[in-house]
Amino acid sequence: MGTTQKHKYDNGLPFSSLLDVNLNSLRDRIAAKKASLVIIDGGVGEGKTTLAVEVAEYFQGSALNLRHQYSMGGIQFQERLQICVDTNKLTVIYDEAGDFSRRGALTEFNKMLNRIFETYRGFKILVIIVLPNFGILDKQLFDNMIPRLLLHCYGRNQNYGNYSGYSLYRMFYLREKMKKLTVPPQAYTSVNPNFRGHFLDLTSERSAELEKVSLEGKAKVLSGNILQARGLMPTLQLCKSLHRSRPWVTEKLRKLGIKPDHIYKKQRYFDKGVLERLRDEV
Amino acid sequence: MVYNKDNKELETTSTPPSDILKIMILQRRDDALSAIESYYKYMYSGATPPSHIVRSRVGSLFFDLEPCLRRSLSAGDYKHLSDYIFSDKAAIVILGFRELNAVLDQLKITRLDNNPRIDTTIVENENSIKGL
Repeated sequence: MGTTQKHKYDNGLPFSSLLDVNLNSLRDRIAAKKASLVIIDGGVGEGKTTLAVEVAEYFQGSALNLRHQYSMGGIQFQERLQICVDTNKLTVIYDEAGDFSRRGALTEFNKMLNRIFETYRGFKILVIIVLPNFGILDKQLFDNMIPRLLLHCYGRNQNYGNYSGYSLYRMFYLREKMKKLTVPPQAYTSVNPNFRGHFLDLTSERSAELEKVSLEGKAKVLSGNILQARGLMPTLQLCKSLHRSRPWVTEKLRKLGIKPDHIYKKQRYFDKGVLERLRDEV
Repeated sequence: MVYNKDNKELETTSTPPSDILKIMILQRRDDALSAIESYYKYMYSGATPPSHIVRSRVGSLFFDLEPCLRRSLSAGDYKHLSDYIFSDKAAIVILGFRELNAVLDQLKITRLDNNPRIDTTIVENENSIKGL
């Protein structure tokens, strides 16, 4: 006889009680137009994305539109954030999904985050970032006091996952410890968390939906990376390299009659020689 | 030239008089407590305890705090307290000492539990109390 999987605790939530109180305490801050970030970190398969969706849905009070509020990769994150602002959504999730595997990606990511929190803080949105280790985040984010809560996921089993919650104050200590330790994750054993708890899995339908969106995102990142590894450049990269706007680059490409080498998911990829031809036009 | 390590003339920082006075008050309080302890020691052993040490030491503590007491207490309360402190009976003087203890607590000279009590399981409580 099979056992039925539980998806909610007795408190009616998919996670232990203290986490909801902590999320509610962030509401006042967001209402006061102060940028707020929740970080969820942990190893592979510890349930970071699951917990992120549960936290976002609790904060929002309704089911998350995964197509609009769940993003993988920096560019997608900015697009989704704009959609959330336009449609008055309260939360957006950024799942790194191997986005940091590229060289220089971390610098770009931190730069983007700093810019986003400068721009979007007035829009009263809770940003949830999912990443393997929160230590990679820029010091400036912490100096600006933007991350408010860290949820570290660990020791997930078939029935439930575990998390430890840390305040910004304790995050500073964690970061300091991580710098000194040969095995940085051991820092979590040196700094006491503010609270601990468990979380349950999403329903099987919701998990399947999440997995579909997540795999699409990962496939997109992978295919994009493969094309770039072949030496092809997307239009956006051409714009960045030339320090010119997208309309300028598009107009020059049209004028010179240059066709893309490859089109993948509406993204046009060009040979690197195109960059040199466009440079002459600058 | 022999370096005189006791020469403090070149020091650029000094202890404010209020801090020195606080330490002296604490010292007097400690002396009074020792006297009270020995008073009770005599009493519990069945002997007649001498009261002069308790009375004089609590009196000194009172003199240290006198200006402050005059300001903070009403005229009636001040007189009442000074009657206790300068009583002939050590038991009444000890009651006066307990009043002085309350004043020292109010002045935060002997207050130990002055850290704000916060529920650190709520991260925003901790963040805000730490100025973040």
